[in-house]
Amino acid sequence: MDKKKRDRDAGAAITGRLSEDLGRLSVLLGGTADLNASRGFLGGVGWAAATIEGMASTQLLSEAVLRPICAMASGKETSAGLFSLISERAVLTTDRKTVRDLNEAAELMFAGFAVIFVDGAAGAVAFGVQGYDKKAVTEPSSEHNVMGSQEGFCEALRTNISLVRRRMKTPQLRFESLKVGKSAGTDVALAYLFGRADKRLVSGLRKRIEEADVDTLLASGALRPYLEGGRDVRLFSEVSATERPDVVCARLLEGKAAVLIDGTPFALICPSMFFENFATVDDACSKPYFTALMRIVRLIAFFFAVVFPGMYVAVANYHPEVLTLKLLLNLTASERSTPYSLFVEMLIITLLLELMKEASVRMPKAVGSAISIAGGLVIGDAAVKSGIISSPLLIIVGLTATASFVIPSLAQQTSVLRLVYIIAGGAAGFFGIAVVSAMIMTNAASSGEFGLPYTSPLIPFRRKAAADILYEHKGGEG
Amino acid sequence: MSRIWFFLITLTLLFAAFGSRDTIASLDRAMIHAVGIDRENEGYRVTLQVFRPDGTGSETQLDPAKANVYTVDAAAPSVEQAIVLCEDKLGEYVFIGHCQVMLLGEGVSPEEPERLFAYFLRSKESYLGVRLAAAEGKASELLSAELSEGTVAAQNILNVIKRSAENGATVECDLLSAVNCGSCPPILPLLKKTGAPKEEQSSDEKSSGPEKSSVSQLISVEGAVAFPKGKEPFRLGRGECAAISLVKGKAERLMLPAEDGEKPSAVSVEFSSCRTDARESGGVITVSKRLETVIRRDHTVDVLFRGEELEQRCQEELIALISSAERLSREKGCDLFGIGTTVRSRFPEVWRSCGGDTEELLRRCVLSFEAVCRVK
Amino acid sequence: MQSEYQTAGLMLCFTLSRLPVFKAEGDSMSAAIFGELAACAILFGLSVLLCKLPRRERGGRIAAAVCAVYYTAALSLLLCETVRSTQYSFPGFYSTAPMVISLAAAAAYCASMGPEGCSRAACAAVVMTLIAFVLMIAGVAGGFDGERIEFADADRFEQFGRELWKSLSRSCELPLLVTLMRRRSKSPVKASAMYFFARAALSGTAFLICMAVLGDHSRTGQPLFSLAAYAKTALIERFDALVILFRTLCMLISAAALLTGLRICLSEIREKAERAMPLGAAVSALSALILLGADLSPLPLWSTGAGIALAAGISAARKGRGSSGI
Repeated sequence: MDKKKRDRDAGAAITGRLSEDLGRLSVLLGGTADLNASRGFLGGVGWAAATIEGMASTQLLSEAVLRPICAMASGKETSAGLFSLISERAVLTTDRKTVRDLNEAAELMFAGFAVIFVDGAAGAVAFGVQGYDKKAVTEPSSEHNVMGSQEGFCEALRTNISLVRRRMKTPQLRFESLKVGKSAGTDVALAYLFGRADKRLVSGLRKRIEEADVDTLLASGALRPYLEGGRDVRLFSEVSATERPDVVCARLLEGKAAVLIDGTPFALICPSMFFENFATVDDACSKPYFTALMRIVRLIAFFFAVVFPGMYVAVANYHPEVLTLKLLLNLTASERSTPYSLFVEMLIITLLLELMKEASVRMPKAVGSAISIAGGLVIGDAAVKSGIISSPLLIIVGLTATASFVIPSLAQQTSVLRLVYIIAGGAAGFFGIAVVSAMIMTNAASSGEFGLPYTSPLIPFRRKAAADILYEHKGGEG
Repeated sequence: MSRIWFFLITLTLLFAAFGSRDTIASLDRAMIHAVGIDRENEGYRVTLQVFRPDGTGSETQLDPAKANVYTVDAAAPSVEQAIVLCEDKLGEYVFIGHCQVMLLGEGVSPEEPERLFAYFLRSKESYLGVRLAAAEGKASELLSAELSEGTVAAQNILNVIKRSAENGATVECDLLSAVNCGSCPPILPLLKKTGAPKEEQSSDEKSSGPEKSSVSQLISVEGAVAFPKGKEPFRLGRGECAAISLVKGKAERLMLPAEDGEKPSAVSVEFSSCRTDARESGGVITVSKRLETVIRRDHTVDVLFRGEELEQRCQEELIALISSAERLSREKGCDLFGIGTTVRSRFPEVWRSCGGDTEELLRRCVLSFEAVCRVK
Repeated sequence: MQSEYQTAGLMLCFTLSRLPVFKAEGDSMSAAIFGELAACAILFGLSVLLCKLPRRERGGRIAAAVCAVYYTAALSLLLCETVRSTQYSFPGFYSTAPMVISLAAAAAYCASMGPEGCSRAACAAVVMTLIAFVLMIAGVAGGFDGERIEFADADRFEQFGRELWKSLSRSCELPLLVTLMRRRSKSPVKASAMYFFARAALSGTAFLICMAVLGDHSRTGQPLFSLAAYAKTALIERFDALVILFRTLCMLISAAALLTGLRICLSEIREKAERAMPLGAAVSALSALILLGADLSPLPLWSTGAGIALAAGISAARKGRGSSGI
């Protein structure tokens, strides 16, 4: 603890003089309007209960804490006796802490605790009577499945911890509580299975979280660059995000670590491998041959979404002899009538696609159908009928768009890399495709912040684990 | 590593597009389906059959009711110059990547394929497997024939050649084979334009529109033509073509005549294998080829023929065909069966001692053929 | 440390990127095949011997400077070879200067991702290229004629000697292989064996199929490109464009490995060498442009003697500061 902090804590120590302590608390919080402090006397000793408006449940406070205290207190009490009653003898809530300084008291009040001060006692007792409004546990909004759990994380950290704990009833499951943010002090929990997770991984993550240089953590994405070591030159991230507690549990069982952040329903998992993006929860519930088929379909979908448009432009513009005759004749007939070159058409339609995707995410639900009409009819059908773009191109872009929705976790990379491939293929044919592919492959293959290469278990090849790429290996680790 | 590299490379790739001759997109070039080369004075007349995309807007369909090919031709001292003149006439660059067939008119010989096909061998688009064929008369007439309504004409020619070759009626040849023939001369299928009268038109048809031609155009295969180096080309009949195709393993089946008692009939004989054996003794090489064929047992074979007799008859027929081809080969001093390749591979010293002289090679080789036919 | 598979994969990228350029010196493809096989056997023996050389202390900076010059020269010639062969097969299609610059810049980018990234990407590139190669062979299977494989040339032994010498002198990757194996590979002998066996198998198969399918046509131009132009399958009509794709991919990864070696050499000459990679790429690109512009006759990519001497020097150098190579 550094000297400044010691000095600060020394100045914030609870004196036992009730009025003074309450006044200093108010000054510490800047006279904030949501500070509630109610005072009273019990057995002749003054007391005060301080809470933050909306964070503590007044009903729980009065019924579970104050009423029992009043019932247990005798007609004549001393300060020490009353303090001892509240802090030790009365079993009121399980979540009870004794605080000695106002900073700690303020932190607990912001976490929904009610802090009881006793006149004459150089301390206070905090009771966990959280009553703030929080979202209920609902279905995950971004990761859907058919046969798995329909529960997703919510914004409350403690609820999220309980969702994981409920699924893994083992003492090896550990949660380390950390704080991130110079101003806000957001609660963060580092979860791992003791004995299974690599100690270096856990200590490395802990260090990176503690050293994260942020003011406040409003979304999980804000912590991600720090977990990745601050190196944002990588195209693919070794830290994945999930809304599903069952996915977190599966990854913890593989020896990975998860970071749960208060205020966001997305948990971060590290390290994450490239091929994990092609696995879903339904795979564990399906037959291995079906799982293998679906994983191959997803891999093909990724290829379609990223490389196919660029390859199409390269082949059609530079190497049309690669296509079969009938296909080429159809393409020629279609492209002859359009005003722009194939390269320009592909760029236009890809940008339109991104525009529509962004609009569908941002728009209010009420106008959702309008976007469908605008996108499907106006842009799709009318553009083809008027000859601005050709039908084969629309088919390809439709296929690409559908394929890109198959792997939502790689949506960012899919969107950007698709454009890069289109530009490379249109500018320099297969030569450009090769150059871009080499750069992307080395970029992806060089990731390996946490000791495990991103392209593992395929490169470097681990036979047992490599089978997991295609199907769930029953009864074994990943 | 700074991200600027990525942008730098992307920009550089864009620049790679400049300075290229083919800045015109390939889809905007004229699609050539077939090429015809005729001799004209001291040069060549090249006829190109071009695909014409029809319709407007992007809802373009290949309209089966309309002809979608047309021809353009030009004459010049060399094939390459003639093609450039054709481009000038078309107003577009040509795309020969999907050229299906190349027809050589009378008087054009693929003896020096590196010279004749220089344009096609040099181009990165052209396919080495493009079929070659010889035209009886002018190649340009064949390419201009309206073979049918709506289908791609060159595709039709290709199908005719393929089916004929599979049935042993002709010998297929592609550009690579022509370039690569070695001692065996290029043997090209011979195509001929024929006409067959159409059925009588109904009175409604007569009165409704303009009068249509009363003859439908057909292309037929009339055996093959061999082009030995330094000699006159000569024709091969169906029988010789069948023998050569079977021995080389290029034909799949052949219809052979067979008598079922009194009336003539025919049976389909399928190619099974052809094993080559070669021995040298005293400077003479004996090349033995054992051709095995199969007759599939079916109702007709069971009812109309007796198994052993049928096999014997078919074997005799096959030997007769092969012997006829061998006689022609020796008469013309031409290695029709590709024996030179076998000798070159197994007896390189003998090959070298012949010095590339085909007649000397044939003199030093004794060919023996055995045909086996089994009903299975 | 990287596994022997990754080392072999990285070296195979060299082979695959240079396979399309191959052309028989004389008239005999069969002599070329045997020459290549013999060269692989000799180089395998050499590499094993070099790995087993006892290490001695040597002056580091001079050796590092020599290695730096060697890597730059090898990279320039690799660029030249790629550009020249691409323009031969696709005449007038790509401009020279942008090709050279974009290849050099991309190689620098790949090298900046680190040697682990390059070696892993090399494994992926090799697998993809082999799959395309197998598909191509399936596309020409119908034209395979074993009797086109012949040994009819009178001076075939002399041609064999010439092909052997050519294969050896083209093996500019030997010093790189030795440095990779000594410093980064867990099992040098196994890596060497895997690499040379795979190279012999690939080269032998490719040339054999060229001979059996193309016959006499395999003696002209670039036979592998011609073979690819002849290959036809139901989905892909022609494979020569794919040859461009995969050979460029493999070439970039091999160039990245050379640049990584260059960076380490420069860092051993000077303490700080942050700009080593872009500098090396720029110098290589410039020298490649000069070579291409001056239209110098095709040089044997490396003299055997110089390459072996350099490899021996690298093998014998002391590890750590003052040693050269990777």
